[in-house]
Amino acid sequence: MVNLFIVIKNLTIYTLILFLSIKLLSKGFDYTAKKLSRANKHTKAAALFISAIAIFAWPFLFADYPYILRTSIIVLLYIVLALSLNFVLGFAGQLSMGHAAFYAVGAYTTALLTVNLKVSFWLAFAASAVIAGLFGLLLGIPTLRLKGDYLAITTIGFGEILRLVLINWTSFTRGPAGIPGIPSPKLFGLTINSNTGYFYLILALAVFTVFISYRLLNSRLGRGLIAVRDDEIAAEAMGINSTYLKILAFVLGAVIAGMAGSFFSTFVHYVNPDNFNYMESVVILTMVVLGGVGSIPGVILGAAVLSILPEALRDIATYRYAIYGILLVMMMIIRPQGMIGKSSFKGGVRHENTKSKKNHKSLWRAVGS
Amino acid sequence: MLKVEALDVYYGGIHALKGISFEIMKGQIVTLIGSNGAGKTTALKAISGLISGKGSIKYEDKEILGSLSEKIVAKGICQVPEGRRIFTALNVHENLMMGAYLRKDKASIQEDLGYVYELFPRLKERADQMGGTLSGGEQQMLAIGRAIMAKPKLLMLDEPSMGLAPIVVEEIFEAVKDLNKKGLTVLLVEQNANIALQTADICYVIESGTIAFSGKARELLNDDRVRKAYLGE
Ligand SMILES: Nc1ncnc2c1ncn2[C@@H]1O[C@H](COP(=O)(O)OP(=O)(O)OP(=O)(O)O)[C@@H](O)[C@H]1O
Ligand SMILES: [Mg+2]
Repeated sequence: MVNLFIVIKNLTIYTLILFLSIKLLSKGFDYTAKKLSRANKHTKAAALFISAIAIFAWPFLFADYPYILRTSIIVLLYIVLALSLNFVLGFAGQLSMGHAAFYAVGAYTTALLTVNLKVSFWLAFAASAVIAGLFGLLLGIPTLRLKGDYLAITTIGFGEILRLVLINWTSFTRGPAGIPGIPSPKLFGLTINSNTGYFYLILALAVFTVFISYRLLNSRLGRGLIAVRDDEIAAEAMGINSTYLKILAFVLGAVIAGMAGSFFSTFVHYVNPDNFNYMESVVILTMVVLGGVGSIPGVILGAAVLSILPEALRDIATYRYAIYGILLVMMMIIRPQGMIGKSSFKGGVRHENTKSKKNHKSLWRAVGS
Repeated sequence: MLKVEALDVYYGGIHALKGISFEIMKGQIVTLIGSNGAGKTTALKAISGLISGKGSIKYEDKEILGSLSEKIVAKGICQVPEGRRIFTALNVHENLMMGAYLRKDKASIQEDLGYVYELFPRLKERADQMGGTLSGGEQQMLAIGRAIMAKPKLLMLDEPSMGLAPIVVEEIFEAVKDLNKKGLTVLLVEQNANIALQTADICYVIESGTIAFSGKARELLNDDRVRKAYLGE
């Protein structure tokens, strides 16, 4: 009984803290977004330049703090993963809940190739991307006819099946024991085994992913995807091949998740099926939703917050998933468009906010009455 | 230009089109009229390749039944779907550019954009407005404009007058006539038989999935069967 009280007390406190921080952060983001969209080109370029320098100097600034560096690497890794899911969820509007499966395919491909066949990391990295992409294609073709809940359930199933195969096919994957001894990558005769090296490696992958995201969003295909998400029938009537575009987004998301998996396996030198369970998919999904579905800066922020949060909450790790749940519910009430919604940088921000505020008020009224 | 022969469409067990045939000549405005659920939208969807069917649909003497919708749009058939279905999250300009999705000729896309804005000046004023916030009439103009951006040879309109004030309906039908004078062939589906018959050259009356009768639009305007059933006299 006493325990229950403690749990409830703690959850209430965390809920309050989360509520206030979301409120505060939202205000901050809206303010910066407004400032940024009004700022002239030079200010924007300067801001970009300074942040770029800061990021590049990061490993040197924190060279004596391996803990901070490792956390930064994890943050970047999740940024890549969340952006890869954003191709599917944000751009194509498809609710995929088994994204960790592609991450697993990438990680295991690299692990098996480098450990068993002594293939170089770079080759294994490319193979991971290709094989994860193939899995994306295999899953995408039959399932993208499904929508919403049905697709979500199928993708959950896929993720679980893959994990069970990894656990039970012991002759191939060594089962729950996992695969240890994954070597570090070598570049120009040097072995990348320091945190600094890994930092730059994952930074390169993150920059690449951000670049691809923006390229796709501003391309003809990206506009086609937006149209399909908005109204599939109208899009098809305009001659947009919606199936092709959705599969493209799915495969792209799978390829990048596979690359992230490949990085993960060389970074920690060990993979096992537990790294890629259902909760992993849920965490990635939460990052995208929290940050703002479809918004690239939003997803980056969501990934950063949710990968730092568990570190900050180390003492109360038991509450981690409960807190994620509360966080999601809070977001739906306070800020349904995510921390940095898609329209934050467009003119639409005022409109969306008033709408969400109204919903929020009427909801409270409904709760109160 | 377009020849539909013995077209059958099923939705599961529902036999929505029961072997209908009709023909559209180049430069004509042809209208399909009929009551709710007669199968008009179904016919347009089959021509656009959005649903499959049996029979034959020949466009410029080539079979298009069973082709992908993107191939059909590329061949020059574009439809303005029932209920407009504009992209609510895109602004007017982006909606129009979506119509030109399959085109690569930048210069002539710009030319057509200018033409759409000339045809519907209200769209030009609202180029930056989100599609979802337009009025019904403006949305209909946008839907037509978006289809024109695909540079079709055959434009298919599904109930463009639906839910609009008479003065806006007139404005839109003037635009359709204007387009037709410029050489565009039009297939017009309407509930509003009066304005459809005044605008079109040829009319087919469709009743529960079959063509009941057809004729010159001007003549049907005085036909008893049409007057009773569709003009409410
Ligand atoms: N997706 C569908 N599934 C099942 N039945 C359908 C579907 N779409 C249309 N139908 C049925 O097919 C018949 C023809 O429908 P259609 O939409 O072509 O009618 P319509 O002539 O366009 O009518 P309206 O003037 O009301 O738009 C109707 O009986 C309708 O219920
Ligand atoms: Mg209809």
